Amino acid sequence: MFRKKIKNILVIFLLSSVFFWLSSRALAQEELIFNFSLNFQKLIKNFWQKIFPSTEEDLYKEKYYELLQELAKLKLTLKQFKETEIISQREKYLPRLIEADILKIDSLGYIYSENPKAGEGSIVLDKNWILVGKVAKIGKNYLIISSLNVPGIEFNVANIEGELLGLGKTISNGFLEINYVRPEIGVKLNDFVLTYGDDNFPSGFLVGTVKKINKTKFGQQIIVRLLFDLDPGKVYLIK
Amino acid sequence: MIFNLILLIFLQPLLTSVFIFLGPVLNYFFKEKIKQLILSLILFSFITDLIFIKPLGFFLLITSFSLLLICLLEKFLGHQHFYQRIIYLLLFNTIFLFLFFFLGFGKISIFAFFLKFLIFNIIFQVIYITVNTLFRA
Repeated sequence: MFRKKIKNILVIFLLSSVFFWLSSRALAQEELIFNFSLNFQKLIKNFWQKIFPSTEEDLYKEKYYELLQELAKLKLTLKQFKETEIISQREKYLPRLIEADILKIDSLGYIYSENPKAGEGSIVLDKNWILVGKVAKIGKNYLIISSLNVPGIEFNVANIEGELLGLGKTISNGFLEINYVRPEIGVKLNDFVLTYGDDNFPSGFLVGTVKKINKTKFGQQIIVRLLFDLDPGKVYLIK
Repeated sequence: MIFNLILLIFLQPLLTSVFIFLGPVLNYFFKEKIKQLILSLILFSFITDLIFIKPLGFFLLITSFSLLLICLLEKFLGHQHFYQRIIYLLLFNTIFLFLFFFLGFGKISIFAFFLKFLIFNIIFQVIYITVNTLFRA
């Protein structure tokens, strides 16, 4: 039995190696069936949402209360936003903005969406103009967005005054960490964090709020909670 | 088989941290049902490729390789008892997830992510195999 089992699995492994090699070489573009699969998965998601709408409502209620709390905080800091780069970003990029439907979000943070003819590297925002990520791969019918939930994405970040905080690194599950922030930079909880410079992302896009500050002997470590929200099932790309 | 197919098609798009097809595959592996093991491995792994948008043959390759490695363990350790199966599952999932992250994303990703996938998958497989054994008994 042992020999039969190992023999069978070995044959399958060898066949799959050949098939995988062919698939990733000669049949590199399996896009049509993947596009069918993505659209089918979207249908299934919609189907489950129709069957269990109550849990969604509860989620929305929770989110609504969270939003109310955030709004209260936002009102306090709204004055700080005037004359800042966010406003000018909006004017700069608004004419180039295109909408795309989300087809699938995987657990690693990659978002599959319809392709509204955007280019690779296009910046992706949510409905509130908060940074979601960047287009990582373009297909004929769909595109893959590398969201800030994907671990290991690095980019420079600044505070609301435009001071460089340091190099931010995404750590998945909706958080970003900034290590070695100079101790003289005053950072408070719930402060806004924006992109800085033009390295991985253009400057001035809102990323998140400060959730935790750890004092270390090398300075400060800041944990940022990402603010982007994909609830309406849409993202906005800058062409 | 049909039940597993329905489970895979209707639940896998929602549960992106758990690989549903591994439940029946490992169940057949422990029960020494080789024909069903091979059939479900080929059929379900191709459907999982489509759901996870991976090159066709990706899951078949990493699953068969992981199975091959734990198969070698049978020389030294049986899998009749629960604790033995846990050892098998732990080893299988570690190899499988290592290959999934390494070949799928070119990196192992962060440890917390790896651990989350590992725990979720082992829990799912233990539940699947236990429920299956209870219903068949």
